[in-house]
Amino acid sequence: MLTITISRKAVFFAAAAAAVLATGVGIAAWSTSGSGNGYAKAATASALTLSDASASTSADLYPGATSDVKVKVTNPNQFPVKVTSVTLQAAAVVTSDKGAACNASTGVTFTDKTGLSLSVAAGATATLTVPAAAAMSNASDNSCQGAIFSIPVNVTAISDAP
Amino acid sequence: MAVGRVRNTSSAAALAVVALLVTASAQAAWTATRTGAAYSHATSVGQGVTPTATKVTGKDIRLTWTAATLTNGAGVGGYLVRRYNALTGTEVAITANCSGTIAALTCTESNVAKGSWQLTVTPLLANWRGTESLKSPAVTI
Repeated sequence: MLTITISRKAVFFAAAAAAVLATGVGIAAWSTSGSGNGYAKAATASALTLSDASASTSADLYPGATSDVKVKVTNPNQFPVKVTSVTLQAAAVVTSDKGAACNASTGVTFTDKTGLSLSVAAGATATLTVPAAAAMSNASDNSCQGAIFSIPVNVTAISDAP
Repeated sequence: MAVGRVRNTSSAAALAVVALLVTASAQAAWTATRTGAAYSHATSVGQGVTPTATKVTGKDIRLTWTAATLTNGAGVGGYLVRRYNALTGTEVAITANCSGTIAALTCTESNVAKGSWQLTVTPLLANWRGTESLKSPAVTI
């Protein structure tokens, strides 16, 4: 029978090396992307991208009403991801395609949505519906009729690998 | 048969803690945030329906119309009534009973001046205004 003996000194160095590796993984994940990943692949994950989803919207927002918002997400990774939250960016300004008069008073507000489970398959682009996230007040300017609003958001996703 | 053996229990515990730290860090890396834009689309107010104007007494004109809607079918908040001289096309001030935002689908102008008049309705919703209706057939006082 072969016996392997590990000294306390060796254990200490192993622990230190592992801690450094763990830190490295964490940093790599933040800088690469923002996309979720299986932990074995975190350092090589590619970033999700968000693109224009305006073509998928339906004209249903008006003063006193709420409506869904659309987010178009591309997942370039070889594993599926799940969007878990869509929240308004700090100091975000909602803009429209109707110009200054509407932009000065869109009346549009966004309610943060968490606890979502919106899947994007590996290598796919999906237009996601975030339910009842936008609302419009009576302050909306007349020129905002028919407008498409762009709402700056943060999208959080996690790996959804089986 | 090969058997690995750690020299003492404190070393084994240290290795276990390190393993947990590595695992926790890796799991945290699964989640990340991306900035971008979400999109929403506003509807609009439809055109007012051409009203019907009727002389009801010597100087009163009763105006009725059917409901207008937003382009997505939702209701509007009220209507703005306007009156025009049927001969010149000039707009004149509406009288009290039909001025402001009218929530109903009818109103009656009182003590209207002599002349031939046409009326319109414009759907409203908060600050939003729809397209003015076509002018009603003329009514003469």
